Amino acid sequence: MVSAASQDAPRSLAGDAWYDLKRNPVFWIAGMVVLLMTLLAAFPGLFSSIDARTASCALSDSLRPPDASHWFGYDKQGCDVYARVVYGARSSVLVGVFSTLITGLISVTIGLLSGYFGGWVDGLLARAVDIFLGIPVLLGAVVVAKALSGQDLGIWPVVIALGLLGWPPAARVVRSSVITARHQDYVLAARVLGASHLRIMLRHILPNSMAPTVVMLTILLGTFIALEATLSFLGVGPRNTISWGVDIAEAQRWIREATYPLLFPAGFLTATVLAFIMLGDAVREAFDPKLR
Amino acid sequence: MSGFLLRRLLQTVLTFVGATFIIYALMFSIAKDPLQALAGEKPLSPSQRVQLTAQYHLDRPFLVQYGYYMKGLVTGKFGRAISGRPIADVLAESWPRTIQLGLMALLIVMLVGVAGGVYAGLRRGGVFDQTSLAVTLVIIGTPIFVIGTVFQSLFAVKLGWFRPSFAPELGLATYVLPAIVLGMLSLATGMRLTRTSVAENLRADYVRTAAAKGLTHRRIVGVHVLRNSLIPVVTFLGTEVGGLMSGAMVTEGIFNIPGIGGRLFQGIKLEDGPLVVTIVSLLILIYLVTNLLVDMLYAVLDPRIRRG
Repeated sequence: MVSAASQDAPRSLAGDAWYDLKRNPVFWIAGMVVLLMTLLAAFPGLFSSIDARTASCALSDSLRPPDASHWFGYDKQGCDVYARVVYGARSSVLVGVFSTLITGLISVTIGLLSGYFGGWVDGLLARAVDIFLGIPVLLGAVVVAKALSGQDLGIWPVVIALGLLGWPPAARVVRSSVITARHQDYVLAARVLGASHLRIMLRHILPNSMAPTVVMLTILLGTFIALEATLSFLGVGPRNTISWGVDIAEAQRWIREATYPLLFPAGFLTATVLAFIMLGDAVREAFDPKLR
Repeated sequence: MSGFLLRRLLQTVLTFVGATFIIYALMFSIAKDPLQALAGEKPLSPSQRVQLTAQYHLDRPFLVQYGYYMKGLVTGKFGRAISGRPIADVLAESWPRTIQLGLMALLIVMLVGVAGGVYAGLRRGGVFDQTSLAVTLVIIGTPIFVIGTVFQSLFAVKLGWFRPSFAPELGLATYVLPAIVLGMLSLATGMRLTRTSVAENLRADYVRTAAAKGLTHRRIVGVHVLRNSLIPVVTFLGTEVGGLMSGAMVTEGIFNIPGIGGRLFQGIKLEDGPLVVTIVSLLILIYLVTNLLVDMLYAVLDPRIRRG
């Protein structure tokens, strides 16, 4: 479809970025890993004949090393590590996606309001950002997840904790890109034509400051997955779900006897987190004209 | 300068009050039964209920509770952990270990991270630069508890170079592996930051001017470039103290070090709410105070900040 003429035609910023991304192997590798993890989370049954949620584990298989039919070996309880790794993707991906949605909603609202209106609105919201920045995310999340640990709420305590505490850096990014967009001529034109504040914010400023926000949120998604695993490792993660963090914590107790149950979930977790961070980085580089 | 200082001090106080209020509110208001939030799933005896209610003034309005709690924090009256031990005693014996571990981690970050970053920045695009960029990216993407458990199983259990858990009889040597784990993330981010900062400053106008005046390369790099590029690095190291504290919780937990982080780790496992909330609040306080100190240091190092 791409003819010689269209390649010579000037491209938009997004077109330029896509042109760069297509040629970036990091983008493709990271994208494939993200896609694979999404598939694992959505359809674990496609990847493993054993359903780790219901499978019966035989203690006689405890810590048996990998063999031809069980590639990743067995954990202490005699469960198939491969099946557990496959089924563990779901809680990580779900927590990542939902916390990022909450974070995105809060940070876009706050960043948009403080960047667009400036003045006392900005000053007030900046204090709120300061206060939330004063709480290290992991420490705060431990307290929230701990307070809710009495009830059986699945992944939600972790989602709420990360979503409520993780937004300040993203809000700063949104704010600064809104400030750049605010003084553009098309915003002035819209205002002269009588557009309302809400319309200017949502139709003119938001779409034009979306790229850095999406990049930031992609990287945050990776960080949230890492934090979810860390919380599970600490014992305050999602309850009654298979999770990489829980499996790593359990395997750590038996590392003198076997390392496979530790290394496989750890490898999957790192690959997923890294994929999101690298994907975000690749998109940011593609959108940054300074690097051209 | 004093105006800047006063404004910054007020901001810190406001942030501390706000942040601890949020932590306190989250702990006590989202749970159905605040006592059960403190003690987790363990059944509470009636006498424990009475004691906890009195300790946290749970029979008073929420704001009054928070006031008592802040008063306790500021005056050092932390009350008792669920285990019955005074929290102040637990903290007093744990601090030295965490400080030793943290200082060693910071030392590693400075020696390896900053030095490596300067080297990579001076030889941008070289083999060392390219390799370190890739390696640091992988480190940034790896959760610290994964680095900790993998290093523990590899270097301590498999290879036997270190002890897998805390051994006080070894003195400072017992902190080496945990300090490497703890410092790893800051090392990676610090190295990247230093590299970028040095590489950018090398292209700055003042470097060209200095070269035009006939200064040697050694003097240009040693005096002009390093001095300017290390300003953001100093700030970074200061703000990393906060990251190191969350990291200490995980690292000390993995290596069984009974420092502040290790106590917090155990407090979470044993569902000791009072201990957890107190330690988290104190860590927030330390985090904010270091940020304040860093800002002041930044103002001393870079006159543009205090005049701006």
